[in-house]
Amino acid sequence: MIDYRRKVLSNGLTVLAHRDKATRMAATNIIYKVGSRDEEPDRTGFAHLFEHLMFAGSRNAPSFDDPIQMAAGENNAFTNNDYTDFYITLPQDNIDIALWLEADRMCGLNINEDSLEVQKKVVVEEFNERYLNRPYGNLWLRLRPFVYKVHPYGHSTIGLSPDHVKNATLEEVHAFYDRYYAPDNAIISIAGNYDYEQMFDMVESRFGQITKKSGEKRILPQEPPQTAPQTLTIEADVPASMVYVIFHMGGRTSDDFVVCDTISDLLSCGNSSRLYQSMVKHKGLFTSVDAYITGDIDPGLFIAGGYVSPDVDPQKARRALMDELEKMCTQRVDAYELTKVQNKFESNILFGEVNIMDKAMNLCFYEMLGDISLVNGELDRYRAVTPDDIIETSRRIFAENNTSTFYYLKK
Amino acid sequence: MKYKPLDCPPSVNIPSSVDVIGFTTHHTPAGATVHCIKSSELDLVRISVVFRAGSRYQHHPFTASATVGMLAEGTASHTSEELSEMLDYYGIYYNTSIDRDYSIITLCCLNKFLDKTLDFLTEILSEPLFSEKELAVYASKRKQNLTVERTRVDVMATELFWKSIYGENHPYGKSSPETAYDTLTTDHLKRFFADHYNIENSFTVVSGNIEPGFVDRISAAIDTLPHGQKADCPIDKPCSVSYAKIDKPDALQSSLRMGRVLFDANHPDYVTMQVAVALLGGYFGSRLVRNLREDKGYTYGIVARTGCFEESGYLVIATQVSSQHTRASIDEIFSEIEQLRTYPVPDSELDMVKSVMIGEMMRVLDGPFGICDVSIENIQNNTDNLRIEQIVNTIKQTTPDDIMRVARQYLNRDDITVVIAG
Repeated sequence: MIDYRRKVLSNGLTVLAHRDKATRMAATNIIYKVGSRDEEPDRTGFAHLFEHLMFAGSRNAPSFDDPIQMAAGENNAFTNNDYTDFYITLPQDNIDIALWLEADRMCGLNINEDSLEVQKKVVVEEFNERYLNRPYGNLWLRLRPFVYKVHPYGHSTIGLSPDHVKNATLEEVHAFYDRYYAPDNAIISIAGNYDYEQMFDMVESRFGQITKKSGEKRILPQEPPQTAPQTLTIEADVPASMVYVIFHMGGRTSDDFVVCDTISDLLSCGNSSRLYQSMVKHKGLFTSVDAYITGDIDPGLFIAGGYVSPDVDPQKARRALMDELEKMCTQRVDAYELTKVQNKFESNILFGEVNIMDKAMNLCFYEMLGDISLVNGELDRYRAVTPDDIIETSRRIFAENNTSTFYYLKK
Repeated sequence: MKYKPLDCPPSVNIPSSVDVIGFTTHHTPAGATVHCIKSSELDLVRISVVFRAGSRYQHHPFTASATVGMLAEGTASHTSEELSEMLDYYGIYYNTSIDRDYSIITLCCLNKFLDKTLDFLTEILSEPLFSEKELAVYASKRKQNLTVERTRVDVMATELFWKSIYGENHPYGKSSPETAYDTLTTDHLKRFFADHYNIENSFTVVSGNIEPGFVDRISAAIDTLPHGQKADCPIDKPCSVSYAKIDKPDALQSSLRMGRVLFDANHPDYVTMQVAVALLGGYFGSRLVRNLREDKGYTYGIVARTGCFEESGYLVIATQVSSQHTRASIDEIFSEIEQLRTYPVPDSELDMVKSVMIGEMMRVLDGPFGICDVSIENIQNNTDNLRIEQIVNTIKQTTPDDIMRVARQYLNRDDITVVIAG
């Protein structure tokens, strides 16, 4: 349970505050509502490259990192398909350092050719390290365009290829900043041991002077329903074969999300779950297996699969996996098993709200989804899922025409 | 609303101290030690049981990790599946970890499920089965994981680094082929469990919202362990080589490790050396990050850190660089080390590092679980949480001369091993 207050400034910046009386630390988190789904098709990877440039210093803070480090703080950022997130934790006496730095780079980012050139190289090395020079590193680079033919979720946050990043120009960087980095396209949260009024005043005193931009909203092309099953097979020099089955499902705020997440937990949350017990322990078809949902804002994916055991035919492993999903469509889950995954969800919520950074991040995330009350309401939604919901949703999601199979085979 | 102009930066408050929460120590009726750290923010309890049962004590490869890894894979009363069911139904977090010196069992639960959690703990400590069938599943899973892991250049470089600074037969340097899983037997595990999982060879740390009566109930679970001997075996001197390489001709990047054997955490220069290494590569504004990432763009990341085992310690510099810049990167790293040895560090830079290090400690200590991890480390190093204050004081008192002294003493080029994979 996270206690919070919400306020929208006149320039459109949404502010969320959380008071934590047990800490001497403070946290800020900012979400800009721009991710890799907003990129041009020939400039994939741009949102993430831009995240790197946000650390290049700003009008009144030539270095972003130095003041934070002097203030005993720590900061980082990440970009995903839907949004870009910047976070800072520091001792509570230094909270204004964080607010000042974030406000200054929201309106006066220092963009220049030198930092662009260096960050392009850094991002290309990140591309190499995490995606190309690692076994299975390109799995998502191949999987995404296979299942998304129209929606920009078809490319990964890192981009389609290092060349897209290498070709980015300074003009494009300026245009991107002008369009997306504005108070009315952002959400900030602040957490620490302060009065609520004090927190709103501190934020407004730094951010209130920034003018809004009201950039046009981009209408994203939506993925049409899949009409036939499809299969992609690739071979690579890897030590073990993998097989995945993938299904389109609803978006983050749809009922699908909660039901599909419950189904994925029944299948693979904990060692007592169905897939681990049947696929790994009893049949020995997989050495590790997982089922999960991507959790994107727009309609996302349900994915099940893993590493196939040596000497097992990947097609046989796939059939066994599909049999487990078939059971979800035909056999009612009993109350005990459903309570188990709901209990586990309750623990996970509590474990996930231990420190102030987690809480600050959660607040921004649910505000971005458009319903901040969900930050404390997810457990009720999960507890409300019934066995009938599971059968109905499984039948629709695991339908043959909604099935994609991805074989990533050992050469 | 009166705005604060953005061209007017706030002043910085450098924290002068770190809040240290100590632990209280209890002795159970059977003589086991239970250390408690109470905090009441959340209705959660975490229990960690630590054994001197790390891989240095094993006679056959993978025995130590398999023993702790299989504790919950079947007991005299319940099958592995039933135990998993118990954990999952009550939402109990269960994890085991292993390093060269210690194994740790950690459980975390909602207060209302403490009794169920202790039933589980009692069972896995007193009657684990280590059956043939479960070992076969475990071994094939682990063997494949390891095979996959070892195709990564960073994993190759890490293993090669330990081997190169300690020696391939040294307990801190050794790594074994995946095929050693084929000859691992349940007898290895049963013997290892009997020799090392006992009251005298363990301690327990409990943190969270510890309600009245909890300590007695937790003690009763720990006391189901048998009595035995504290593990003790002398460790050989390290035997290092200066250079090692694994070729991977098609690799886009090389993984680099550079470093040396140093000393354990109780050495008088341990903290000063930590400060020197932090300056070199311990934070985002460090010299190595500025040079290799922010200036040259050779890498996505580089880090230098010190660490320790129970009877040794080390320096490691780790990065993954584009293959055509491997040589240049090594030269730059040596040149940054040379700078540290030759010129006094500017006060402003040293102040920043001190703030970063103290801030890091404040973050780790903010919350009951972080304090638990720090306490475990301190107990392993034969000290208590007052050690944290000493560390903070040493950091604050470090001078540019101290940095130059330790850099000259411990960072001789000839003493530094270079390892490359890729």
